[in-house]
Amino acid sequence: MSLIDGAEAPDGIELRDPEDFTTLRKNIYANTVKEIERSFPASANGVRVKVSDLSFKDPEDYSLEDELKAKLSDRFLSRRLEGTLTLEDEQTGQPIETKRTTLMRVPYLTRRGTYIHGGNEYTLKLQSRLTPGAYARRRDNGEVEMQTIVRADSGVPFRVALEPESGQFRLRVRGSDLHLYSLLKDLGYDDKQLEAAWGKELFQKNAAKYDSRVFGKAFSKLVFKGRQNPQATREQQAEAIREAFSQALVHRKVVERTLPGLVNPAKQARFWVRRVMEKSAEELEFKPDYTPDQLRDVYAAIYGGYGPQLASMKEWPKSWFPPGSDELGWLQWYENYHAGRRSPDDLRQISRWKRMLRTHGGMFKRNPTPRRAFALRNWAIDPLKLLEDPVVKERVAGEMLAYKDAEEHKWQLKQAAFRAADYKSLALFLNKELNAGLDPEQSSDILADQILQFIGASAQEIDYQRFSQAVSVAQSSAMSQRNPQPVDFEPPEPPKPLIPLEKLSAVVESPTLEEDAPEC
Amino acid sequence: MPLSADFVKSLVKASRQLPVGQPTADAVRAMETAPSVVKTEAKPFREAVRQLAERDSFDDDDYVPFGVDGLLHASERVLAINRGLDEPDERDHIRYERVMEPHRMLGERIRLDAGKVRKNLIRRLTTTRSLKDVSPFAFDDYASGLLIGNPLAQPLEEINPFQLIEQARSVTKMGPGGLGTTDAITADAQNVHASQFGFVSTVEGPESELAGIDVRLSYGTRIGSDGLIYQKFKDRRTGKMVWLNPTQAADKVVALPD
Repeated sequence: MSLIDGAEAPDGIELRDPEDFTTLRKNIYANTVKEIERSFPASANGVRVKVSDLSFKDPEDYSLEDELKAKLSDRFLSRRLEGTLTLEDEQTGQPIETKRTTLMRVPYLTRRGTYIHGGNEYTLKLQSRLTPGAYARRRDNGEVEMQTIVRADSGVPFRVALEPESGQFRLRVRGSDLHLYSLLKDLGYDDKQLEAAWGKELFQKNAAKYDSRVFGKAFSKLVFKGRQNPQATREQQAEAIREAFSQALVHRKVVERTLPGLVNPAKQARFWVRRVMEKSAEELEFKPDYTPDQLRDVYAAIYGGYGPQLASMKEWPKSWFPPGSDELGWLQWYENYHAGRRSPDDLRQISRWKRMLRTHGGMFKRNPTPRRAFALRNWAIDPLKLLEDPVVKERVAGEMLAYKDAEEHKWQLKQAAFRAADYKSLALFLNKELNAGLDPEQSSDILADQILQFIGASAQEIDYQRFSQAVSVAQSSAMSQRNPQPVDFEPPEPPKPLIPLEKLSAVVESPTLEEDAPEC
Repeated sequence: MPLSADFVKSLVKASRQLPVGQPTADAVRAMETAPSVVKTEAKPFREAVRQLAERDSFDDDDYVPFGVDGLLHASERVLAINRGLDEPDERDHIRYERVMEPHRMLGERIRLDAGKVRKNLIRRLTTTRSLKDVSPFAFDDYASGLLIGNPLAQPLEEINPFQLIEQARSVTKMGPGGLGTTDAITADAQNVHASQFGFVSTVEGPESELAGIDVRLSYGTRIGSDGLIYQKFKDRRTGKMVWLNPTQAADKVVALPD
């Protein structure tokens, strides 16, 4: 990072103040030399011209007097660029003639940002151009088209459109309206490929309108005249058309956004995979083993926080939630889908389900662990169905049960353990009953210390039986905050009335419990 | 002579360390396909890498071929939008626009051989096979055509000196390589786009059909060598001032200073 005007500038990018004419003047000189060098050697009909030893004849800067003189004498205020021209025989490479001459006059940019030509002073506006790329737009008549602007020296611009009424894809280039299917077909595209891309119905409509004349028109419009060979065979013409499209350059950063398949074929799925969302679940081979109702315990554990999450991740990556998707993830989508809702996100979620079945299902078959089994169950896949050997099946079923019991036990212990909310509830209780003077807004660490100190100092006065009850009530109160959905829940055995020291470091986001202070 | 595998690997590694926005993989590919550039001139490795870094990011930036497959991709996208599964692109987002400065316009005229100056010269030389007929200032039309007959060039009115300051920040979408006629101006193009905030002045400009087409850069902006407009923002997290282009600013929450 470099600093420009007190701010960090991106590396490799030069920033110019629009009113910095000195830099612009230098850029004009440097760029002119660069482009002249780049444009040569040029050759035609056996001769080749080279340019070398480019240099400026005049000084880089002119005085105001010079400018005045140029204006009064109707001159072009410029800097002469000299160079050596060499004429060569293209075949042998032997020089025919060499000449040093003034090639051109490069305009001089004054300190005011103007140019003097013919005694007149001109300003030149900056120009804003659309970066070469493919842009989808909806025209005023409602037709959708993909407008492709190619780099100026690389080809001709064209548009791909869909006629909504006839369902025909068109390629519009240089005033011609070509039938896209006919061209793609003649360029060697397979019907199956086109059907997969457009869908059966649309493909058939386009295939029915095949026009063999399109190919010739496309050749004349897309291939530069200088490269058009009338004697070329059809295959050579097809190659020339393919080459014309290959030479048409678009900016990577634009098409990464507007036509990602061009840069990364995997990303194209984002667009066209959605298109087949109208396909039924059967067509898509989406056959879950459980209904959402049969997965109520999974929903309760993952969304309600009631029960152990047997296989789900603690936190899901943000990339799993693209804009427009269900914010609670696959299970929420599945519930909606099962209830009959259809959305653009369906195919993505079904693809995820199929991927889960393919990858994790495959891994489970090779190494059936209980955690993997419950991960599959979270995706409405019956893991035991994947196993063929009845002995293994029985063993895994037993392991699953044991795993579930163990996880539930762990979860209950965790629920029973003290958390920040429990400390707050307890502090409120002690303040109310014993005027402990504790600050419930303190962090759980400090609060735990204060409670311990208070208990130690008031050991004689505390009724430990009541204290034990208070702890139990405080936990139940805090626990009801953790499990917002109403459940039939019996509080587990209360822990010992003393606060376990090893839990003091546990800090959990706690709800405000002032209004819900436990009544004892 | 082909490049050694080790050399290419080290080049790839070094090119990955180049600043963002510079060509990397394609540049390396270009080096691979034209090994003589490196080998015959025996340029040291660092020099080769420096050349990559110095490539003009505006003209030779990362371009990709559209190809025939692009037609199929485009048709699929059109279909998705037609079915309401996708949205058209925001073509008026300032991230898609590049500013052409005078030196780029002149360079483009030379590269594309405006007025067929170079082509006519070569044609003449093929018949005469002599440079005697080549007069001085043979390529003058490239430069004079930039000022004479170019809709982007305007004679100075020489009435209001502030016109000079205004013209320095004046950017138009019209002209060669841009919109050819006012008929091509759409209502969307005339509207103020949210992405212009901080980069383009929304109050300066003509009160005609060119509103939104003929605009002025906001004060404090800079024009990058990549053709993008840059504006200075304060990063609230680090407290540092940074130059951001419209693409970078589009992903951020921007607040006005107190």
